[in-house]
Amino acid sequence: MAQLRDIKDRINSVKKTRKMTQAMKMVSAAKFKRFSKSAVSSRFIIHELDFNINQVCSDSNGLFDVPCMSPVESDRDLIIVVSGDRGLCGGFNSNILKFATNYIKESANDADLILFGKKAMSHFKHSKNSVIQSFENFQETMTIDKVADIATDCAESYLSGKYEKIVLLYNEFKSAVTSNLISKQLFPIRWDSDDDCDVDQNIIIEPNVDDVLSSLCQSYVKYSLYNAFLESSAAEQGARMAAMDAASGNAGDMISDLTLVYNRQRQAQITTELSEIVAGAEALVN
Amino acid sequence: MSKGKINQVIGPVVDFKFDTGQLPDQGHAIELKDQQGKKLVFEVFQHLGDDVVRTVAMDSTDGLVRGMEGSSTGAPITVPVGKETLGRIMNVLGEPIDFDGPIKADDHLPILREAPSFEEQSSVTEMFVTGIKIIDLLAPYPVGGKVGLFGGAGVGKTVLIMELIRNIAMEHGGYSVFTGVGERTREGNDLWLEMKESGVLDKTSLVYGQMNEPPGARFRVGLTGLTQAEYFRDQEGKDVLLFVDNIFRFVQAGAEVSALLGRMPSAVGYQPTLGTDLGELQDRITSTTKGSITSVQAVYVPADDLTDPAPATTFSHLDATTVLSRVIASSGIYPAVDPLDSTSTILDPRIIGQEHFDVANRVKQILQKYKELQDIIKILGMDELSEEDKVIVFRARKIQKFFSQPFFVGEQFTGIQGKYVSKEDTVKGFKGIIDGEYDDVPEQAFSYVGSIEDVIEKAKEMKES
Repeated sequence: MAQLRDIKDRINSVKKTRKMTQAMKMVSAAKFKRFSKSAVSSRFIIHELDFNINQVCSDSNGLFDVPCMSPVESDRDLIIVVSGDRGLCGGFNSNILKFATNYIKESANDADLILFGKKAMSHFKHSKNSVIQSFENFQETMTIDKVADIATDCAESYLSGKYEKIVLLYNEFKSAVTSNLISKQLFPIRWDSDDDCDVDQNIIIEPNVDDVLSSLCQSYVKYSLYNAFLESSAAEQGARMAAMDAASGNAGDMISDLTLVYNRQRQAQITTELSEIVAGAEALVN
Repeated sequence: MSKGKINQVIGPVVDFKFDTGQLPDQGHAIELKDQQGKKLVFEVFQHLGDDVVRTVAMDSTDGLVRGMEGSSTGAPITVPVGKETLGRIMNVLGEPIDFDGPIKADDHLPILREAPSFEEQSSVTEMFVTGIKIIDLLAPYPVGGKVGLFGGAGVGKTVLIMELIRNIAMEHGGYSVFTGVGERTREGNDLWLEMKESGVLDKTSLVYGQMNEPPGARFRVGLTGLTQAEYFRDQEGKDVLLFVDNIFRFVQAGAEVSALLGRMPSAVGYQPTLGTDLGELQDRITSTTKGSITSVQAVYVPADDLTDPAPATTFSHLDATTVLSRVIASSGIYPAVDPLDSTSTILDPRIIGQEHFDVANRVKQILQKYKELQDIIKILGMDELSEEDKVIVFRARKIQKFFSQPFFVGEQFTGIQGKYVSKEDTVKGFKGIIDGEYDDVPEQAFSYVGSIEDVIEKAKEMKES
């Protein structure tokens, strides 16, 4: 008797869970649309900036002196990790955090951290790496001005010679279910001389290469950061959508399994009771 | 001796009419020679009035006719007891069934006897090491206590009881009594051959009333075996091991004759006297100040439902219960002992020691937590667990694997040599797992090994291959 009620209770609780996962799936589907659109459109700026930096650098045959592109001698790195604030999104958070942990482990230098997202904060709470800055709920509050401030901070700390390099780690959104783990070096900014063979030879740089480059670099860092947030947000919502879809499916399977058990037990109980009543009545007659 | 005539035969239940004033007592035996000269024994169960007694036959009633004459023996069924029964196989009536000539015992005892009185009983303070990890750790057996092995069909009760016989009867050195009640006849034969091979047969008496016997024999054979054990305990002051496979068949045989005796069936069709029947048997299996009986009883659980009246009634008589679970058996872990359902009254720091007690409790906690997390894992996946929970899950899985153990009696089936693990090794191994010493050892290394040293060795082998 008690067992039947237990199963019923479990069925109800799984049903409630499924309702929740279904609702979350729909919410993240709506958010995903928004974030993925802005993520994709922001890629264009990064691409253009990348192209321009490469072009200017190739044009001047590497004869330039921009502080944010020249190497620094140091034994420390600054690592920026972008994770999510909330769970229930499959492997999204654990993937990026595992990636970051491995990255730190493999690098020869000590690493300081700038963290975005509660999950990263709780993950690195007990690590020996010092956390310089951390932001939670950045998805809702992040504006381009704030990003610009962070970019300036990063540039300053690099120029002060404290760090050998500054690296940005984040999830790049690919499709609703897949994302790539990206490590992007912000400082010193790298360029490829043999990239883009169709360099426009007639380019005129005003007032001089260094000024143009440093202004380009500033924008590059700023927009790279902003793009990383958008990509990461889109990837998180996508991952959540997929995870919640799978969870709803699993909950459905569990409900049907439990319902089967419930019905079987109920039937067994009825049969037992019936046969007892019939046998009892029969015994009374004889 | 008074004589009576058969006036009704319904299967195993036979009515005799005696002359007025000549009625045999309740529980007394009636003997009858049939046309072929074969002896048939009945036990009186009811006095119906009009000088008619209702009896249950201890053998097949084929060929009986109304009017046949039986004579009361004036006593309950009496069986030979003592050293002469060692190495022999007998049936419910104490007759040899091993083609080895008659049993020439000096002493005979009736199978219906009183249970020891309260002041004669002794209490339990010591642990009986079985060499089986999960049992020694979580549901240790008390010396002189009663132990039940509960399990549905085909989860390994008989294999486990055979392993226990191998591990404890063969190392125990004292006398053992094995009673087969309503189980496969083949198993009885196997056990006899195995005991003969290992040389413990001359310290064991075997009593069989297997599934080929009529319900009367299956209902009473448990008492026959118990009477053997009682004699060794009371007259010789020995520590005796009593194995019974399977107590449920005793209840089932009782249910089979119950309706024929005219009793109204009770819950789930069992006899209304279920509690009394079982109590009369179980209360006699006990340790006294003279000697002890340590009993291990297999209990079949119908339809895997532990709340069924038969196993539920048996539960309350036992000091330790080992519950075998189908879920664990189907995940390939043998012995399929359920670590959370199995219990023991001696799981107490004063008896088993503080360290053992702590380890057992922590193991149970981890497994309980894992059980609670299972729904989350099922719906949301492992990724959603926090780091601490993940550690618990991995350790719990290792503990579950480590509960498996190769059996000596299963050697010919598994091809793995059986392992006997001392209590110290068991506690040490599980302590290491819960303390996280073996977090980096792969899970597979934990299955079907003996001590934790074997795990490390297996892990090394796996790495090399």
